Amino acid sequence: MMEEANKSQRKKILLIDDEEDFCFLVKLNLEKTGKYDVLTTTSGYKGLVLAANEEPDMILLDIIMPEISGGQVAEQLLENPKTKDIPILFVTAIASRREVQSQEGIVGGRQFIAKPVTPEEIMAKINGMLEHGK
Amino acid sequence: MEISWFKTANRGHNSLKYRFLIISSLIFVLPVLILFYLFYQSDTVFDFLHLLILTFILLLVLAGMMAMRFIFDRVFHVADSLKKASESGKALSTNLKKDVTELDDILVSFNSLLQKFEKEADQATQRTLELSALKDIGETIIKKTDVDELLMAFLDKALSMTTAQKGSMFVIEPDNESLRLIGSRGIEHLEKGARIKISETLLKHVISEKKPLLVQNIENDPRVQKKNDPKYGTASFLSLPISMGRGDITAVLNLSNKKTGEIFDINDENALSVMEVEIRFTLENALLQAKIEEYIKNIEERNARLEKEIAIRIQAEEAQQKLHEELVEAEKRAALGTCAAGIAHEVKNPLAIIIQGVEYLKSTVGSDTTLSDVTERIKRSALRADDIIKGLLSFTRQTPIQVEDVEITPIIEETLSFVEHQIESKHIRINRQYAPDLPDVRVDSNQIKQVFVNLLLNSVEAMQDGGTIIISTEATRDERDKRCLQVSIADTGCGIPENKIDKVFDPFYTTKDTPGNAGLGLSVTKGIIDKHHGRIRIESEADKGTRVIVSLPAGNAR
Repeated sequence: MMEEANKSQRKKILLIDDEEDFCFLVKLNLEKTGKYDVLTTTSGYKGLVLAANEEPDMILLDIIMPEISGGQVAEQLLENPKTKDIPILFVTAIASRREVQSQEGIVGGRQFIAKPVTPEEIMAKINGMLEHGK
Repeated sequence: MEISWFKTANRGHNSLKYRFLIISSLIFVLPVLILFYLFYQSDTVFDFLHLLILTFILLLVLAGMMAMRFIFDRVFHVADSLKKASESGKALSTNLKKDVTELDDILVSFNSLLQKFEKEADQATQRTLELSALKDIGETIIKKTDVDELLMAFLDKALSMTTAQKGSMFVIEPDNESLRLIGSRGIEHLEKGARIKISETLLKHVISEKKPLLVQNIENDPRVQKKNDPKYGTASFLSLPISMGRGDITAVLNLSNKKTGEIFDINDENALSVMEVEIRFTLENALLQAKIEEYIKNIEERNARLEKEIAIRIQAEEAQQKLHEELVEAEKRAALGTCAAGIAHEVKNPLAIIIQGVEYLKSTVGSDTTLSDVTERIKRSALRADDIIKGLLSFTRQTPIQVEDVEITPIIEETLSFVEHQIESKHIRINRQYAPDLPDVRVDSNQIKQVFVNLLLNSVEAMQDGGTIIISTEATRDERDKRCLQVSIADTGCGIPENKIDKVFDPFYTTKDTPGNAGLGLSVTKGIIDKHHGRIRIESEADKGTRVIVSLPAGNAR
């Protein structure tokens, strides 16, 4: 029960990124804090299914992926009533950290975080977005 | 008894006989003497042939003198007989009548001979005048090369030779339909340069027939039959066509109003025709010379134009070459940018994994300082790799600039504050030499700050044991005479070897030994300057220092 209570306080994070190692380590680092449950998938399509079924509190979404890009996944998430309100944080390797920082983490109206990123930076971003309800 | 005329001639120096004796001597003896003189002057050697000729001539002279003696003895014998007959009143004897008749025949022959001599003398005189005029013309022609001047000289000589008092010279215009007056004498109402239609003048006959027109009375001549204009003097006139070598009529000479009211005659026409022939080819030469000079002038002007065009073309080719090089460079950058973006993406993902892994390891090592140190070093290296990637992307990415007119001095001062720590740590002095009343510059402030940061950090890194950085500003004009502002950053550091200065703007080229230096700073700097349409150049000497001069376009504000 205690565990269930703790579990209910933990935020459910869905990480969609084609780098399996990155998914593994982010899951490891975030869950180590005890504040997050992290679901991971390397497939954008599977991510859509997981998002609809698991209804996570936040989705961390890579942009450049082989089967379907992060942008396309985001569009489909928005079109699905079950997932349209889930906040999305893009985790990208194509923008520099300085660029993202200089834009206060918002590029084109979307929240971004640039790789390579530390676990602390990820958690700070996640907490910030969840607090503001974005 | 006949007394020799020669014997009686000596009896009085004033007698007719004496005079005839002198004349006959002159006629027969003098030429021989002249002949001897000419031989003497020419240093002729008298061979047998010459002696034979001289002897023959002498014999002829003697024969002539003998003949003259017989003739004059006879003449004067008849004269004496007539005198005696008239004094005595006796009738002339038959022989005497025969002599008188014969004498009469001789006198008639002499008279005829004298008339012929007179005529020949007149012609010789006329010819002498013509030759004299030709000589004058020749001398005049030598001095003049202008066609109009030559024609006017011809007119003047024609006037003097024919004693005409009025004259004019017309040239045929290129359209062959009109005449242009190049000059006149004694005719005030004609203006130089005046034009008349050929078809409306009497000269159309001269031009069409290519023959002189000699009119003794303009009112009676069936070819003309026109009322005489008193402005031209008497009713007689002479027009002469002038051609220039090839038979084409190019000018017409007109004469009128001979002195003392005389009319022009065939002698005038012939004399002028001879003169015209003499000057014909000279006129053509003068015309050709004028054409050649004009041709040469056109050639020279054309050459000057061509040289100018060549210079412009060379400039354009150089500009094109430069543009081509810039385009190639831009293409390289674009290709590199595309490549870099791909590389950056592929590298960043592993870096992200490394960072995540290292962070996890750090959280598990606990108090083990060595492991903690190792993981920290791994993290720093991963972040430095990320910085390199970032620098590469900055170099290759075509980040659009957002320009505005700003003051340069505050930008420089702000940049100095960014690197203040590095400057102070190496005990480097800053010497500011800012010009007053500088114009604003038209720049993207953030990117220009990046330029100055790069340059200042390069100067700092070149001075390991202290030194001086001199920052100066100056308003100037570029090679296109456009206003610009020049910022110079000079240091007293280690300098750049001469053989490496040309390479410092190449990507990944570095003269620094510091690890992790990607060699992109000056490449990025130059890229930013180029985007601002500015210029950057470096002056450096090994072990003495380096000076970087940046020129930026001035703003429009002031």
